[in-house]
Amino acid sequence: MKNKIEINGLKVTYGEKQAIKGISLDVVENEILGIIGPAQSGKTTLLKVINRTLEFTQGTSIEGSVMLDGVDINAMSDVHGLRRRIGMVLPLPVGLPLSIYDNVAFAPRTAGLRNKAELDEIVERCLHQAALWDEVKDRLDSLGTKLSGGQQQRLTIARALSHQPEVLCLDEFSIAVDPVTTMRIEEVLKTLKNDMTILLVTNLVQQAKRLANRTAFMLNGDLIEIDNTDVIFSENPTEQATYDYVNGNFG
Amino acid sequence: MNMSYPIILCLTCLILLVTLYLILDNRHNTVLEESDLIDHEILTDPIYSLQDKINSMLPILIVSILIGIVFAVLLQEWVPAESWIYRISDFIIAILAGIPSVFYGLLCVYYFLLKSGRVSYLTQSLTVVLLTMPIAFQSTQNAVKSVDVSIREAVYALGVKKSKVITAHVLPHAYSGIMSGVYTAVSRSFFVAGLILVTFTWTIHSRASFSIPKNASVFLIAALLCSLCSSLLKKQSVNTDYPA
Repeated sequence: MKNKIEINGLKVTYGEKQAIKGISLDVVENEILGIIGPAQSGKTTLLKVINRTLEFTQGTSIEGSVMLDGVDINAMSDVHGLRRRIGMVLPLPVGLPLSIYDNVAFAPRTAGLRNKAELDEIVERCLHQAALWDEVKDRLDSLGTKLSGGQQQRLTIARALSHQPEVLCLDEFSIAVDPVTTMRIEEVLKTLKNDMTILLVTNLVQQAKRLANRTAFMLNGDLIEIDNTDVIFSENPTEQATYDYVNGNFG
Repeated sequence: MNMSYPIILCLTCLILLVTLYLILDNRHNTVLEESDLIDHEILTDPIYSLQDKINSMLPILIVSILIGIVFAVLLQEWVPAESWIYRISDFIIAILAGIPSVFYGLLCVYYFLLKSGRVSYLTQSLTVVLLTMPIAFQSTQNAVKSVDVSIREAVYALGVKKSKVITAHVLPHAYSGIMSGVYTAVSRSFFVAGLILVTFTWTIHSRASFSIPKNASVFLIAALLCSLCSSLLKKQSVNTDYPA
């Protein structure tokens, strides 16, 4: 099994506050890695380091290395190329005030794709993958921001898929989505992992149990434990804290 | 930075008060004759002069507003907020925008029209620029600042270049804010032009001396101080950082 992402001794500080206190972990290609942990444990920060959007937050410093396919991401000169390789879905849907079609076609268009037939195909494929096609296929021209919360979140997933990323980062995607849709997206993710590596940050412990091949448990900026999902959710994971969190004793 | 604002505010007010005292001092207590004005068609042929003024000043007005907008976008998006160039431009613009428009009109009248008998093209242009540029700058800056961070992050995460993020998403979001600033700036310059015309026509027709009575100057100074305070305090509250 090939390692897609290798993180070594990653430390992130916001001013005085240490958000991530030196973690090392590998993400294997074509797996779903669930990342669980209570609030303030550094999960979102970790994702932002990987696609280098943490650079927009002032006063942060990053130590350690993050390798994508063996190349240090901080040494990459083409940061936009890097971000195109990594899809990102944020907790709350951010609908761009464009039509549904343009929301999905925006990234390929900026990358230089002008062919209408190809764009049509990308839009249809991505909306299918995000389980949204059937609901919006007749009104692709209406505003993306007019959709319901759950639909908007699926639209952002479609948008993240539009440049065929190698890694898909989902940051608590199900916060604004109803349970039925959540289940449909989860089915989609199981298929998607054949084509890409998925990092699933979630507050729903059971979601990680359902989906993830391996699960990492983070607490206050430390990586407590990373192992196969059935070990983490078994009666005897290595760390007591993992057992307590997974079973709802705290957090 | 929070501590330095009241001190700078006091110093600025002091300087402006001294300037005002010099202006409002009734040394120009001469009766204005129509023949004193070289530009006397301002009064005799209002339609001609209006068209003339608009023709000559409209390009300046447009360019000045555009400069304000472009400067604000460049400063806000490409210059870090801690750098000295950002702070100084920000502060100077806040002062310029905080001065009530009537003062620019008075300065123009006192120092140029009354002294030389005519308003030069340069003076008019400078007045128009001072009236409109800071307002266009400030409203653009605020509009660009208020674009939600999540929108930028979402677009950047798609691997889009900064210039494209700004032209395709930040500016359209800020559009209404920028346009409202444009209209305010235009109204400010028209207001002052109208005010000067009214005052002058009246002064010359009534053969009164053109001076500001002491009781009016009290109101003007009060207006200046309040307006400056409002402008600077607004800056202070906007300048606070996002919580980490």
